[in-house]
Amino acid sequence: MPRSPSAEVGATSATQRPAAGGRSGIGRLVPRLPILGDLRLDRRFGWVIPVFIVLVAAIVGYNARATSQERGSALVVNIAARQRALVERHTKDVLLVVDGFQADPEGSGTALHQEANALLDGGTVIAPQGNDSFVKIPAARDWKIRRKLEQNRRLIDELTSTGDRLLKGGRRDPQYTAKVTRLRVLTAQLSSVSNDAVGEITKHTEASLSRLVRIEIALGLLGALAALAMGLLLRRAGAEQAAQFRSLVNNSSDLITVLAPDGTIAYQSPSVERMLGRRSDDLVGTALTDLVHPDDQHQVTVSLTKLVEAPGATANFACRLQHEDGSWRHVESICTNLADDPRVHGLVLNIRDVTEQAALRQSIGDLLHNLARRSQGLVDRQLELIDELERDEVDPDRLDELFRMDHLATRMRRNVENLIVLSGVEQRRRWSESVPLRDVVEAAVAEVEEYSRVQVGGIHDLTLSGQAASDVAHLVAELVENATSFSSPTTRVEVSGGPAGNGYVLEIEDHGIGMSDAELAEANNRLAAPLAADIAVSRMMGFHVVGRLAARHGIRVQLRHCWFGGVAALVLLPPALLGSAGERPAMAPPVPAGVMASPEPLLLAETTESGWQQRAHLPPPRHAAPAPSRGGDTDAAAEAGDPVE
Amino acid sequence: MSGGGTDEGGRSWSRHYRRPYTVTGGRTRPAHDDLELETLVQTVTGIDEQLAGLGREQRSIAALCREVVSIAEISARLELLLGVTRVIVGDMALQGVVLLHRPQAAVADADIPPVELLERVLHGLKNIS
Amino acid sequence: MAWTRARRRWAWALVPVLAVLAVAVPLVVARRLEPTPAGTPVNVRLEDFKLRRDVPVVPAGTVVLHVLNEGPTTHEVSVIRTDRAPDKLPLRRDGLTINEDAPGMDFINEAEGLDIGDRRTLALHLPAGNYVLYCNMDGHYLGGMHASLTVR
Repeated sequence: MPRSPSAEVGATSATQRPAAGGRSGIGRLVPRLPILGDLRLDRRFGWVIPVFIVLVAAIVGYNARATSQERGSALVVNIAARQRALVERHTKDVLLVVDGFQADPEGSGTALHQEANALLDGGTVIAPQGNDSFVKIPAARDWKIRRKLEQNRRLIDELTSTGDRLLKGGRRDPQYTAKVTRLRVLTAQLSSVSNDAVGEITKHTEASLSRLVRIEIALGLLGALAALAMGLLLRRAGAEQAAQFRSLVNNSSDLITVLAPDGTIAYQSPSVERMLGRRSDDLVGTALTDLVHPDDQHQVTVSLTKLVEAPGATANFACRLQHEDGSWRHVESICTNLADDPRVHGLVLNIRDVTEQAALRQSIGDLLHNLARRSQGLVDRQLELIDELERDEVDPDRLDELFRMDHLATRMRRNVENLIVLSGVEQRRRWSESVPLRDVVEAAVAEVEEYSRVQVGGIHDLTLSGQAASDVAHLVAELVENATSFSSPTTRVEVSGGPAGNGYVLEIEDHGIGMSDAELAEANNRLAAPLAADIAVSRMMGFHVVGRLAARHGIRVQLRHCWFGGVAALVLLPPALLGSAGERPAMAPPVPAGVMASPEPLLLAETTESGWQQRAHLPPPRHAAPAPSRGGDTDAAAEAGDPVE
Repeated sequence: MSGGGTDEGGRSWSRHYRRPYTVTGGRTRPAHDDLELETLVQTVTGIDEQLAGLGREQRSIAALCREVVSIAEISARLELLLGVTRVIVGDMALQGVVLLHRPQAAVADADIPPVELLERVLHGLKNIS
Repeated sequence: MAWTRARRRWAWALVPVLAVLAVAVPLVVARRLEPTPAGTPVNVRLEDFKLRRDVPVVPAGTVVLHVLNEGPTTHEVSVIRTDRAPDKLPLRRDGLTINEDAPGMDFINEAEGLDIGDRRTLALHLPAGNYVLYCNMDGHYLGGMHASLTVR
């Protein structure tokens, strides 16, 4: 920070940041003042500051000099004028003494000499105002003044020596008259000389003063000009910077909107004209939600309300805003809560038009759907063909090959259905009656590759609405496929079910390598909010499909770590989809699932693609005892009672 | 047919979703050799199919075979594939749930008395328990 | 000739230069060409309390006095026609200055207020006669500031 007054005065320039305009050497030396904030001065104008400093220093210096000079010369003039009186007195003293009267010619003579010397070379003399005070006067500088004062001294010397001779000789001196006349002449000459000197000193002083005044006036004017120039430059720099920012804001294709805490628009950038065909002035003061599509208003309001309660937080949402001409533009918005920032005092929204992207996504989705439908048709016909061939085949080996084709075609069918789901086009298979939940689970397992590793535990006697049965089968199939893919072929995957506080939970557990916390979190995010956006990682693609299917029916899916290291997928089916089986009460003890894939784990060691052959050894059949399953009895109900979030 | 009714295309749930390989766990070869189309199947008396820990198809077959039925007939009546029927019936025979009778008209097998069949069934039962 | 930006800038720079020349040149020239009045020149030098002239006798007619005061104090030069001796001119009552109104004293002209370094030119038509040049400030004449000038 500035230490000297002149540096403080001059340090009004901001630092020269290496941005626009660069840094000048002087600018680097000048410290930065907080009063200027972010202002940056161009390098070209760095010279104004040192000029200003020099001017002010010069004015101050000249002022000091002028004052001292004036004081000095007033004194000198006074002293010089006094000389004449002293000369007269000395002459009078001499003549009086010569005539016999009392006087002090020596005293006046000494004083004369002293003052004459002081006037010439500077020294101490009696002050004009009194007897006891003394002042110092400076030596004479001007050559004209010096010459006159020198003559003054010469004459004074002659005067005093003539006076001395007169005093020595007295009246009776034959030269008396001549001496007296000489004395008189010298006195007269001294009078004119000292007048002259005084006149010259005065003239000189006046000239010097008027010169100083002129210089000061000029400096003052220059200083005022410099100050004015600096003020204008700073203002211009500020205006340029503001204009630069304004241009950035105005020409950005995104909208910048500031919302007051009550949801009304406090500021709207002009780019809104380009995006929505509305004028920014018209929008200020209106509520943002007036522009939002009715279907999106709820989620926008919820997002903004939550954001308002969290200062400094950020939120994203996507919605549709209405163009002036009535059409809807898809937008994505990033919002930051800057209510605590005194300069903003509201929510800042950065809104981007993604209508084209949405349209593109839509057309890609349509294309995908188109292709998938065609594939679906082909796969269906393929399966019909396989059905026919299987019907008439008695040879076990050939039947085995047909079974493999059947399984492959079934998996293909599921894959095609994945594509249909991903295409975003709403299409589902509706069944005219509700389907037992157990059948749905079995259907799901049949569609995965390694179905032999899947062990279905107790599923209660519930039915699933015909609207949702296929989607649930599909999503469970995806979760089971995921479980088998990411666990060792020697382990099994367990599917079981149990009642929950708000519905029924299916649980798919694997004994695999598990997922990291980050992966788990990401998967759960994808399950909870599947956007059409990035379908990048294939591992996540399945979750994307599951998330979409679940969202259709209000089903919630969540992944959790298992205590033994694998991953458990929990599927919460809402009561609206569930029904009872009819003859049996809904929560009867479960009957183990059927012949479907219930081998001993040990046999799995040899399970490969042709795992079917291993079934030649029929495992010892199970007893009627219910298979160990989580949903077995009411105790387990409490265990599995954690509601899926 | 176990629920679901039909979809928009008129297909049934089981037809669409319950593929034959799931019924047999992928097997195509019956455990039991002696399963011709004419082989007669009869459920052992005293077995309650509801509580016997049987799969869906097995229950249907057990219910159907209280009266003696041939394999071909089972396949036709329950709309199961022949090969699948043979596998399931074979399993059930091994488990002792059903008894198999070869039709008397088969000449080549005249030396095997029905008694041996019963013994084999007993043997199988012993293996289970 | 095309008026490019550079040429225009040079033209603008030339304007003050021309203005200065337009003012200064005539002055200098006028000064140089100032006619020295015709006549017999006499150089008069004032120094300390002495008055010196380089030519004691001049022909009648126009006499031009070139006066220079070497100072250091202010002096003046008066010209009077008189037959009295230069050092015996009549004084006024104060006893310090010459009485120019006394009989036999014919005041011609004077050059007053010459400070140190000042020059003055005095052109006089002097008929034949005796003249005295002197400084009539208090005590200067009595200090010795007088000289005679004879016009034949």
